[in-house]
Amino acid sequence: MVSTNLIKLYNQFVSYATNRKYKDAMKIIDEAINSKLDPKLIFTEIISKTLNNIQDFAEEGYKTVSSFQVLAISKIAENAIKKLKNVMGDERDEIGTIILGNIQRDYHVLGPEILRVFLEVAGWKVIYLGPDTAPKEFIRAAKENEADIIMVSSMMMNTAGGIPQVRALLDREKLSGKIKLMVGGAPFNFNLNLVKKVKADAMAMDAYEAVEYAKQLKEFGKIVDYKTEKKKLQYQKAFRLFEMGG
Amino acid sequence: MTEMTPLERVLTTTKHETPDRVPIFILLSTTCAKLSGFPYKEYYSSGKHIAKMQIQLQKKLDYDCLLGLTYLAQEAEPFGSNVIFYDDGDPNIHKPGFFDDPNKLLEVEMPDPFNDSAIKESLILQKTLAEYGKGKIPILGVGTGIFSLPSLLIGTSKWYEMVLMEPDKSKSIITLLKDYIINLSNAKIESGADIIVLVDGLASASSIPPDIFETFVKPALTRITKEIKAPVVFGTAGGEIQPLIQLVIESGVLGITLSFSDELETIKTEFGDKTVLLGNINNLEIVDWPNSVIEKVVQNCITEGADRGGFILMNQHTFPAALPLEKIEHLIRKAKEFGTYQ
Repeated sequence: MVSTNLIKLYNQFVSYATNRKYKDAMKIIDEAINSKLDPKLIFTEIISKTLNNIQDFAEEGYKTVSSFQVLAISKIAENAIKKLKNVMGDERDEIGTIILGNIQRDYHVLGPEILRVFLEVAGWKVIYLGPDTAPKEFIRAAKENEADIIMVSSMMMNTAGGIPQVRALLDREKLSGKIKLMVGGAPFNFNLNLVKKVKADAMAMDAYEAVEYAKQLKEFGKIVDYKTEKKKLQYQKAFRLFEMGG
Repeated sequence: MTEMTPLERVLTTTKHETPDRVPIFILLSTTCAKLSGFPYKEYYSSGKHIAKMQIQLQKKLDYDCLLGLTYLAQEAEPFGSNVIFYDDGDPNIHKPGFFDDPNKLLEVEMPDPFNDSAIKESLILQKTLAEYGKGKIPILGVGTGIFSLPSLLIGTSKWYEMVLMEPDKSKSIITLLKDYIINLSNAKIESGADIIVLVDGLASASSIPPDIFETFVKPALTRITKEIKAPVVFGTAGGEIQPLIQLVIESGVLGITLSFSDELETIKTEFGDKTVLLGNINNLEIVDWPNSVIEKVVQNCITEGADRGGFILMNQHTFPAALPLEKIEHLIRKAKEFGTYQ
């Protein structure tokens, strides 16, 4: 049973995180650690739950959740986890492995850096390759780490053009059924047809979606539940267009 | 109504009066580079080459502006930021000049931008466009906005972290760069630009919440719009603006560019008399649209935005080179057909 103190600390932490009060949020983690609460509970019932809560908040109330807001929350979560690691070490159950990076010639690292934190909090082992990653590097890292998913980010149309090479290499190595390919970045948000043109299995519009869809790809091998009806329709349209050779 | 020149058309709509038809701004960058026949780096490094292609495309397609844009990373080059030139897209920042130590930006002596070759070429571009179109076609002098420029100098992640963790230092950086933007913009005006477009994608609602805009962007933008000697348009490069629009208007800008995902009809109803709206054609999805969809989108934009003037039909960001000119021609043809005021 979750203690009253833990609930109180969670409520304070989520409020500070939502309002981007970094120092106050860190004080709550210090207080939780000093209260001798189980570090695993602090992780699941305060940090992880906060990210989930904010995800619900995003779905329900906000048309636009700004990247700054998401970065602020991810920084708070990242530093809270660092504090926890000092007392609990690195040991935790991982649900799978994701290879994450920007495609070759793309240097826009903000999105992947935020996403890395969200994925780690959700229980994934993340191998972050950084900017300007060659397609063969994604494959090499995926093979070495027995990855479940490769996530490729691109913020420009011309750099997104390099992503089909990742698929080609997955096909060549006969890994396409085993390792899923997910993409993200502004060009994919502006043109929902692009996900099929680059031959990806899925695209995520933000970090929240990426976490949800990664879970679905791992469990079902495909996206079975799009987050909104509108999005579902757009996806269906995109897939039809691709099948028609559009 | 007698046919107006593009400049008359734009000036009329900015006064919230109805011109002969809805003005059309077509933003082309990579398309021009591709058609120029030059290697991209050579093309983007020459104001003359860019001007030649902008004039050629405006003549061919007959829209209502000349785009005075070399590339958006140019303002960062005098600070030592390293730009990467692609052979299939617009140049971009490769390594920000103060990436290793953002604090050094606060200690640096402001560079004289007019000694920088990229800035010189940008001014040559405005001048060459003016020699052709001054007094007939509005010349848009395009530059980077005040909240986005720091990210080109220290990196986006580091800039956001600084705003989050060290707000006072962030404000000092904005103060430092404000005059730089004003000086560059006024130099573009002296060289021929009629309107300054400050592209500030990182200050869009997709990037920052309203309180950050109000605290960090609005005071600087207000000062910038006052001191730039021509009207200023606030551009978002496709980012959403709807939740911030009242704050942007209060900053004194002439107009605001909208994302395809902004609700044009709602914005027009609430703010149409207070600012000029520019938008909001999806610049990337159009590649997949058949002509019938292009027609529908153009018609919707005009139905939602054009009433009583104060509206310019525009792509939310530059079109990709993969978009055939025939589709742009169709868009313009339909915009003229649907956009004629009675």
